[in-house]
Amino acid sequence: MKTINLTLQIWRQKNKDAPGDFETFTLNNISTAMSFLEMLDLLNENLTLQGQEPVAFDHDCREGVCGMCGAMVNGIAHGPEPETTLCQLHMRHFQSGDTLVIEPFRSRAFPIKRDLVIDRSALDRIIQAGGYISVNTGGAPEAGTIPIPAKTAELAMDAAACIGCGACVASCPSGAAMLFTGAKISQLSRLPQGQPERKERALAMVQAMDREGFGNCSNERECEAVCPKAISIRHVARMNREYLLASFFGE
Amino acid sequence: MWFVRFITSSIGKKWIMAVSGLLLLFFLFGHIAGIATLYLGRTALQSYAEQLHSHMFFLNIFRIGLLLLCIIHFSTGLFLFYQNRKTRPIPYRISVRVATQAAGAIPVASGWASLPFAARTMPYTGIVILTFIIIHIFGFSIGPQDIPVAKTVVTLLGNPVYGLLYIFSFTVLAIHMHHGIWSLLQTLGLSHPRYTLFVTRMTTIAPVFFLIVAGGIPLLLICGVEF
Repeated sequence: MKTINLTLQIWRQKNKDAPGDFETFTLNNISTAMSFLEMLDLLNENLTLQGQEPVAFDHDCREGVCGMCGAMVNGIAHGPEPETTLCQLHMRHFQSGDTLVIEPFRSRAFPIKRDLVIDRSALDRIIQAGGYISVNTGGAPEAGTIPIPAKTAELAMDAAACIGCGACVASCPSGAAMLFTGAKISQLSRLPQGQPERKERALAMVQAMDREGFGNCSNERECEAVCPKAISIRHVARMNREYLLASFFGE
Repeated sequence: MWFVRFITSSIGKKWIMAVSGLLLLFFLFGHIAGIATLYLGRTALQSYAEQLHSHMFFLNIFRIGLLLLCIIHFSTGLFLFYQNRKTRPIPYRISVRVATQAAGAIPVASGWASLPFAARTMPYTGIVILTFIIIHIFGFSIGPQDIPVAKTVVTLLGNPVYGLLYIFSFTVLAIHMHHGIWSLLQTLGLSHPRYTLFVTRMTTIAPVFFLIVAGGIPLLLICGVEF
């Protein structure tokens, strides 16, 4: 089994208000078959044995679909591999002797809870503002009542693939959350179920996004480049269009 | 009021940048078409200028509109720049831009603007262009009144320092437009696989065309070509 040795510089911060700083660790005998999070587990096991406080980081499914994990690895959200979440990034992509700088996703709207753990509830509040469709309760409707062409469903799914990890915000030079918001507005605007609330949704979600203190997109495409689900900035254009139409022609 | 709510929103401010940028682009097209009459000879430029100045009333309305557009485009841009800077209070120790690498990973036909450098430097190229516009206005519009316009153009642009400043400024303008043209269409919601390849090509072809037509005049004059 191939192993590597790394120097890790990790952001440590006690809580939201405490000042933070980098702490340097040396970690040896890391199996290249490990995922990035397993490497952090190894580090934490060592720290615990030494009686030190382990590094706090968020994770859940560890198979790239939940959107909980994420950190900046040497300046790139979710590390250097494209279309990969941090949990799916494997240590075989690093060389023995490398120094990795690991920082939390930084944004004014994402307070740091501890070390690499951030509070992404700002994204939840954007969804709560309009990222849903209203359905009357009652008996389950007949499957296929509303015909949707397969291609439309696929295109909506491209946007629905967003896992809400926040990498787009973290890597945006302007600190914008437009890829996240755009993906949801775009997804629902493509589907028949999204039509009744289409205009309200665009207005409410953009308003919620601005309220959280996110920045204004400058079309630099960094979000698209780091997105683990490869969500296209076409969805941002679609959101702009939806918002324009809702503002000028909404009820 | 719905319009105030619209223009104070993030997308609304971007919309202001896009629309004012588009109108300035239209003006530039007209202005360069006018100045390009010099290629037909000095008399062609002089008669174009005299024709233009014979409609002083409309010309002044146009000038005021243009001034307002410049103020709106510049101040909104500046406001966005400062607002965006505040979104990340603690900067990253290491920050890597990956849009370049991704541009290679995505097939060219998907057609995104190809020069990330242009996108990153928008506020700075904008300031250079503003400085240039001020120099330009003082040189020509508020310049010598009793000398024929065509003579002022040939004298000023034939001056190597002034001429090279023009070529430099038009190069900066071309870089600004390279991102601007694509960016304004994206902001207006115009993005579709059907025409993104065309748009991407135009983001390079149009600025280079402007650069050749406008920059060619001082270049030829410095090289000693007589118009």
